[in-house]
Amino acid sequence: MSAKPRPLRRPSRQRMSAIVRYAILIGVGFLMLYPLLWMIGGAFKPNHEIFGSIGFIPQEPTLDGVIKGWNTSTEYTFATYLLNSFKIVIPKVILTAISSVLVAFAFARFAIPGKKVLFGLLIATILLPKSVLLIPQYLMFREFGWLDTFLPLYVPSAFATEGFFVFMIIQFMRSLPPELEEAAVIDGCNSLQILWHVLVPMLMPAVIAVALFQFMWSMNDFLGPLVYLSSVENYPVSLALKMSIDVTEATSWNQILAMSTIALLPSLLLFFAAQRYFVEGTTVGAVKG
Amino acid sequence: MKIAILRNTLLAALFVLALPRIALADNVQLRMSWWGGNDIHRTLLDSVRRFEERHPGITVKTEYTGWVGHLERITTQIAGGTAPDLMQINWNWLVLFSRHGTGFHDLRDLDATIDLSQFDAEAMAMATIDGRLNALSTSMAARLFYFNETTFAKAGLAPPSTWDELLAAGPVFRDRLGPDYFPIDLHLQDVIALTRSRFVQETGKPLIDEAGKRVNASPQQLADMARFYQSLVDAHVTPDVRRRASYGHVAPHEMRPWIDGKFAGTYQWISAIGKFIDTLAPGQRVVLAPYPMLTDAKDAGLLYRPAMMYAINAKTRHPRESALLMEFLLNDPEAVQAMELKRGVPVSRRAIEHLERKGAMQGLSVDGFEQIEGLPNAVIESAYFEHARVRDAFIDAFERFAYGRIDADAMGQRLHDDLNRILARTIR
Amino acid sequence: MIYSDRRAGLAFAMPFLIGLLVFTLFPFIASLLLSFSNYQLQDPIAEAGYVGLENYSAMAADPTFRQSFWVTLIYVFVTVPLKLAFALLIAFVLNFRLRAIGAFRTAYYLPSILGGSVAIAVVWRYVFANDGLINQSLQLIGMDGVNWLGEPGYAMATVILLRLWQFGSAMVIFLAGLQAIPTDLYEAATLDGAKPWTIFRRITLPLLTPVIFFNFIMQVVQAFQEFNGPYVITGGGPLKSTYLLPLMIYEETFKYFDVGYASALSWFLFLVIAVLTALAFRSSKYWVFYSNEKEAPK
Repeated sequence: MSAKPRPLRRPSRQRMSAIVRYAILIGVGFLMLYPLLWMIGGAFKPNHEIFGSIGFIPQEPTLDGVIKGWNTSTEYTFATYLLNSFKIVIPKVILTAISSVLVAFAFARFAIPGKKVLFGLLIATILLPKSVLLIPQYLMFREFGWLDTFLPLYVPSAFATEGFFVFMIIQFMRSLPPELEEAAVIDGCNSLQILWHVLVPMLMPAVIAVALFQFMWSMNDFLGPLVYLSSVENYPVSLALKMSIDVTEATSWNQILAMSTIALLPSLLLFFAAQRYFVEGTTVGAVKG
Repeated sequence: MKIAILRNTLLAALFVLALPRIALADNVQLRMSWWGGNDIHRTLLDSVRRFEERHPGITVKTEYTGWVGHLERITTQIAGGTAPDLMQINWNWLVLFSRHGTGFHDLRDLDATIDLSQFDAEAMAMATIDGRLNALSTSMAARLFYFNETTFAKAGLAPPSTWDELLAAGPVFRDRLGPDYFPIDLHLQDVIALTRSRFVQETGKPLIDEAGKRVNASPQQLADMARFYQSLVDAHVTPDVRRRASYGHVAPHEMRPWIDGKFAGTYQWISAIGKFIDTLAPGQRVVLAPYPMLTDAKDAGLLYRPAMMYAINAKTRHPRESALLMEFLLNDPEAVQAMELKRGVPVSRRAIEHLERKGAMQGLSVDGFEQIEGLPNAVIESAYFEHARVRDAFIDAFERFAYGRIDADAMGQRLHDDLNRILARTIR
Repeated sequence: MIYSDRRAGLAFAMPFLIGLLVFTLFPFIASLLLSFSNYQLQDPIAEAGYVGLENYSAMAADPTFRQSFWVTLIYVFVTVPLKLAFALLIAFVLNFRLRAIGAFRTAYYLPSILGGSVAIAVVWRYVFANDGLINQSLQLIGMDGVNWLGEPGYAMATVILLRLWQFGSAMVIFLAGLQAIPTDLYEAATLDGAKPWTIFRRITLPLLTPVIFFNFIMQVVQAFQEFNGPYVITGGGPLKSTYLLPLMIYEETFKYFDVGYASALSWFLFLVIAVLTALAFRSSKYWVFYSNEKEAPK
């Protein structure tokens, strides 16, 4: 999908149009990103400078906020919390990828009994508000004895409970040319072999997109950990951050901004490394839907 | 052959599974949680270490937070079966977690370990439900008036001892010291407690009628509470909500104006005043003022109840060790010495005796204790006054009034209806 | 293509079927049942008693609920149109043979990746503090600062702005939709002498309707479930002006432990979303134009 330019008009009008567009884009873009710049800059400022001006470049840069922020004002450092976040997110991503592919395969390539109904239910789960499931799920996990563990946070992903991802892969699969699979069937391969050897390599962009999205959303997940985790040593970054702002001295702003920056770092880095997949992933589901 | 292998594997597995148990039987690990300020954290951590030295087979894992959110945390833990062995709880949580007395371990079963004779019958009665002793108080508390003597001296005033003097102090502060100076800083919670105290002084009745599941105040009386608050604001006695909000989401003892002495007083629990003194900028002194009483008042309207209590998890696997820890913290000279009067005067007789011998029974806490003893204090408020919903209903109503969204009469009516609705549903 | 081995198909679908049953349908029904009970969180489940429609009638009488529902509606019906409009606008501006289109797209998309996090909510609290970024910028251009977090109306504005800030994901979808429109349509129209506005109304907009529809549904469903923003930035205040329904459900469960009531609230929220979604789907016949149809509706 490459950008298709508008038809040509007279040159000067086109230039005017371009200038106006650039101006808007740069202006809005700058306003949009400014809070992030301010946050990162604030992490490196001494406290008295933070609310002193709107500039984001520190006049007296210091690592004080970053160091204190890393250590947090609690018994553990950010290392613990980042590790906890990964202990939740990595299994979740892997399980989501696997289960979404399996289920999408079933929907896109098989005539399952009741497929239409099931597909309708799949769409319905995307639109279902999570709050209506929260309490019973909490009670259920309590009965299992899974409270204060990471299990409630990633086990459901093994069962393709996030319909959005299944949907994304189904759409992608539908757009794949069937020739390779047909050839494999003729060669006598069974469906599992075809899935693994033929489809999965072709599905990689979509799977990567699913993994990236799930990574981001899970890193940001706050309500889940809030409800299921009670020991501080199990806190992921999102809970630790909230607890820190309640516990830290009211005026240690640079510490808190530093903590926010550190908390966002994994997502930021991943985003810049894999932007392309994000954008393609978002649009696959939407435009073809 | 196969069966033999299977059996041996099973035996080995069982043995391996049993190993940790065997190893652990020597070392018991307890979990303990509490809330408080930094001074309390330091003190309790120190006492816990001493306890561990005294009992080498026991280690204690501690969890401590500030007051905000502690109830939610404990509820989630109790509801989820992940509560600590020894918990610091608030007296009014007993109705939440132990309606039938079985929510916490019965301490009478552990009287071989805990010396219950140090606690008088009245104190224990407050925590006994259906014959089961659910918790023991560390100390009793009430809210009293404390003022920053230094600032008052600057204004040429003595700390007020009557309601009228309190109201009169406002204009003096404004005129002599400036518009940023106030005789007292009242958080909405403080306002509610203060107006409740006046209500009891006026009527001699508690605010909540627990048996009747309704509020004792009429809409008019509730409206009067709001009007009294307004008179305090108008007389520059306490800062208005907007000014207080502009300092952000900060605890009262951490607000800049208190630290600097501009907000020169507080209506605070005797068990919490230590936090406030801790944060004061140097060179300032806090004193206890006489409790203002209305002329015909038969009761001071103090909300006199346990400051905090220790309870043992009903489902603990180590009741004896938890009891040892509780006994240590409440009765042992080392722990008592460390805590001194930071949480007010202890309930335990042995603790009081020890502190008296060490000459530590002095200062604001003792003054407060003696003041309470000297005040008429017979009206007992229902525990539901501090129930989360009731408390929030009060705060919402006062907040709405304070922001000018609703006038006093409407506020009184609405609060009256809300409270009755809540009490009818909540008291079971 | 379709494989013939139906049993394999079922096997592949098995995770979904189990998950649907255990993690979706069962909690869904349980939630309804709980809403007919007076279950308190700290009690064992066996103690839950049946109270019929009492929770629902309590809801109707509860001024806090009415307030919460009202502010939630305001939140949704303000943010969704604004966010979509802004996203569409920027997508237009971006749909041009610009250099660095990728960089701009990244810049706008980034906030929607990070925006739902606690970290950003925390930063938002500072940005809107009394001497924070926004007020200082206002003062720079000669306006007075605003008590964003202390005044009921303005506090809602901060939560709304947080959501609007995340328009990037919707924009990217609109952009893809715009780019999918074949340019020969534009060329033909221009040759016929059509003005830009007419082109927009008659060609671009109708062809975009499927994407608009998709975005609209997704945005509405997400907006009704907003939790992080109000929880971290304002705590639901001041005066419950940002006390969105998901926050109320959370507090009813984990602060007041009234599981029965909270379940009734969550079912109500579900019904509202379901009705709105159904209405949107029903109305889509009239205004959404799929390019495989011969005529445009209306």
